[in-house]
Amino acid sequence: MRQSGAAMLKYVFGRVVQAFIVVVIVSVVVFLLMHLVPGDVVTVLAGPDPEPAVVAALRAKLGLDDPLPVQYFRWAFAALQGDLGTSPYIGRPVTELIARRLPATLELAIAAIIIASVFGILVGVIAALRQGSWVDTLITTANSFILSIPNFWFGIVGIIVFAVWLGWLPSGGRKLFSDDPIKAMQYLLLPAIALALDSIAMIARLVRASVLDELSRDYVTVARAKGVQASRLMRLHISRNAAIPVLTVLGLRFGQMLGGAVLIESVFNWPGLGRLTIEAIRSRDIVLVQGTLMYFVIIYMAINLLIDLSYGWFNPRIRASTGGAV
Amino acid sequence: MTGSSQQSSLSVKNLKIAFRTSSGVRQVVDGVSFDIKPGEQVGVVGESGSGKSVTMLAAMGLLPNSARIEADHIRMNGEEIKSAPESRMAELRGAEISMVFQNPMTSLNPSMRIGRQVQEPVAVHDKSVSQTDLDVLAIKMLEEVGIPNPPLRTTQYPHEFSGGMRQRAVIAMALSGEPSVLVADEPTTALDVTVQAQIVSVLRELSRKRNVASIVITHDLGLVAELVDRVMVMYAGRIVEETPVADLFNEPAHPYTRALLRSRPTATEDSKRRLDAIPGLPPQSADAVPGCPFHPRCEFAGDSSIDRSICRTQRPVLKEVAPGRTAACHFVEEVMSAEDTQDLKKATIAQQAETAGEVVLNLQKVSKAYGPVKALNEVSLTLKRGETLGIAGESGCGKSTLARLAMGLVPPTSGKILVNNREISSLKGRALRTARREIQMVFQDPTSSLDRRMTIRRIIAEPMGIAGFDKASISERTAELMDAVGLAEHYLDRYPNELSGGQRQRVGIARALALNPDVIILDEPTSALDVSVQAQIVNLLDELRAARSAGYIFIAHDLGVLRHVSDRVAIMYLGRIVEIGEGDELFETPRHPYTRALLASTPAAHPDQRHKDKFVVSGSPPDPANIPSGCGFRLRCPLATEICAQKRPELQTVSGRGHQVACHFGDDLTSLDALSTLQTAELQPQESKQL
Repeated sequence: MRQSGAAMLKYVFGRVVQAFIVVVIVSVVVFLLMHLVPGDVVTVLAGPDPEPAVVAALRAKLGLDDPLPVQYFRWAFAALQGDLGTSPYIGRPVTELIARRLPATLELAIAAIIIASVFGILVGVIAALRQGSWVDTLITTANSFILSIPNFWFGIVGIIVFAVWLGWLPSGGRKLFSDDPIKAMQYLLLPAIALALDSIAMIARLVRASVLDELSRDYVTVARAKGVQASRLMRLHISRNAAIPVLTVLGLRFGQMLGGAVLIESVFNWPGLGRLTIEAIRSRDIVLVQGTLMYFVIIYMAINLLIDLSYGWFNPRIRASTGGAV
Repeated sequence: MTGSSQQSSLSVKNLKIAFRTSSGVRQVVDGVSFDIKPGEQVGVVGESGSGKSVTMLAAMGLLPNSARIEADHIRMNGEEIKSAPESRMAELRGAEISMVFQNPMTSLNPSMRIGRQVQEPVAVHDKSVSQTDLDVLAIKMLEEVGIPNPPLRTTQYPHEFSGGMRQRAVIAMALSGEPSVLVADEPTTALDVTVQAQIVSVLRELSRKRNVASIVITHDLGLVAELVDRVMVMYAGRIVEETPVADLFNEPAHPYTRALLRSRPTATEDSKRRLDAIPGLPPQSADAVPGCPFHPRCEFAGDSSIDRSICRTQRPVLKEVAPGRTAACHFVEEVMSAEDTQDLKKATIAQQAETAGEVVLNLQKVSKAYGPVKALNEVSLTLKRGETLGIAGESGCGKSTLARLAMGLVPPTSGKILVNNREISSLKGRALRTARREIQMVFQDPTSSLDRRMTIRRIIAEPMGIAGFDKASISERTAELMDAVGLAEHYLDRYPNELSGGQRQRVGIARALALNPDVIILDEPTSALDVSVQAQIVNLLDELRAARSAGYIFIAHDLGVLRHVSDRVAIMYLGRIVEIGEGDELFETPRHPYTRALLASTPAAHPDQRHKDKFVVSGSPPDPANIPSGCGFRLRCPLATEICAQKRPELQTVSGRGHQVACHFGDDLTSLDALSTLQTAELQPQESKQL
């Protein structure tokens, strides 16, 4: 009767298959993108007024005369091996370009998501426990304020206050942790906070609603009737049950951040993927756009998959409902 | 009340509780005093809003901040806790006093292992106990409440437990801290009837064995008859009677107690009696009615030659009416010497079955499967105009699927459903919608089945509007319907939330009647209602039935109500009808062991029947996705032999009046009668078999 191992495996397998299907569908869309835009690589490579024979040779060499499905599989197979093509403008492989920008994006996203979870959960729990008090009102009002203003504005204000007026922090750019950890922290702090702010507000709202919902449930009264006190109640009883909606939003946010925070990166002159994508779009570098899109989709799906899998840990009923129910 | 020098486990004197609400202060408990001795079993009986749960929550310090609590004293084992800080109350809860709540499906934390929840009362109070000892304790507790395979069960989560097993776990949890007082708030109300009987016996045995004082809060007089020694009856925030349990049933001293007893249909009595419903409704707050709070509903306060104005002007206080008995009534002697409650006047209701009309609903070998789950298996039945067919069975037996199929809401997997000799299972679109008018339904929960944004008028008129009635006839018919269900016409412009539960159910019935349907399906129409109101609705249904315009299917788990309202009764188990017959014959000579188990599990009508040998069936029904071979009941049946595993018994007629049973032993009354003498030792929980 104890089938939770098998059930878990089935659950994981089901989710992986789902994620794979989505990636395949999106890859088809991304691939077709190249053929929707007028002109192809050849028009770029062959230069202005090319000889028709040269064009034909190039097309044959690049396999552009093959039927679309053949071209798709060739492209997808290469992508699977980590080859997303070569940017015709920069002349470097797309994977290399992405890999070069990835550390900066990763660093910013991780810092921002840590700030967002810690403060979002803390503020949300406080608001829920003090429901209806002035603290709650203050937090709720501040949340609406933050959510109604785009976060690059907070970035600009942060630069003015902390870099220009107070001179405590640099106004932009990035330093490597491996060179000077303290300096690197200083450069990271403002952009990370600016990027995290609206996530803090959103998480706090969600945590508040979620905790209040749990507090009204019978099992909480039962726990109190057993002599469980507030801190243990929050830690052992409520946290797990309230976690799922919060986790979902955290995951989605993190996925977006990993795709590069275009505005924040621009404001802080941060050399991340967001700016790479913008540059690629500006220069109509379709191959690069395609590559960054594919990267973004895969990262996003992977994060979602991880979140989905963690539901099973937080809620034993989800494990059961996907098979092996007793 | 007191009288012994022994220290009380819980002593409350002059407790008053008020809630601050947006519409002012509402007094919910007004001057309640009681003493619970160590090891004593006490029942607190009352309807919703009588203050019974609130009183106990106050004693545990579990009321929200909006409650204002006053008392001369609240003492737990001699310690004054009236103004104890929250930290002290948390120390006492779980260790000295603990609570079992009504709904086992929601009272366990869904994401915490059962073992951890069971050991928690000890874990939070004594940090020195090691994790190993805690785990041993959890296993021992589960064993004690009769959960098979405790070492495995402690590692599972609540969703892996059936309802009955969960309630056992909740009891184990409440007792693990070895409290001296256990409060059980409606501990069986949310459970199936066979499981109720199991929980009652667990509670009874454990509280005796561990010498725990138990306080059982309930509206169910049957539970009181089964479990407790002493009863406190509460009404409008006060104790109106306190008495040893046998006296309560033999000689109630308060008119409210008496009325409650008389409004209760039981499974063991002749069905054709009009119930003595208590008119009106309980007051909303303790101080809403001047004088005696019960006088507006009291049969002794009005129609006599003696002057009864005292009932309207002076609040009666609790006074001793016999040794160990108190009651708060100005006319106690008269109430106690009034005719015996067991000899109720028999306003007989006309027999229906013989005069029933043509067949309005006909199910022919109807099956319904949802994936691997066979919800309904080859069910055949007929319903005639003017007849009421009662359907009983535990949750998951297919009662509700049957209702949905008959309504044409879901198509059957196989078989035919005929309404007025027309097959509806093949109808689609407009034809199906028209056919549905011939069948209407009354739902269990009158609160969620009425749209709260519509006035009563719109609710009742809606089906007529859809059917294309003109305005004049709608308004004429609406007035007729309100009259038929006993609601004054001024309610038409109110909203559902301005009505009481009973009144809302009347609206639900009026809506079902609007199109003059041929079949009305009532799905547990009284189970969400208070006892006194339940009797009003049952009587209303009796009246409507007498008009004989439709056939009724009445689905209920309360066999008392079912016997009372039904001409014929069908007992369902695992998607099949296992026994069907005329109500009185079926209840007096049940032929299926399962029917016998259901009847035996119904709480006693009187405490004298408590210690009789009973056939209490173990476990709960198997998973409908994994039905055992042969007879579906065999795993829980003490009569089961090899043939039961090999051959599924078909329904067979056993008497001239259409009594049919699906059991290989249906003719063997000697074996069936011997069921009640079987040792309970043979009937340990067998859930492991089914899992």
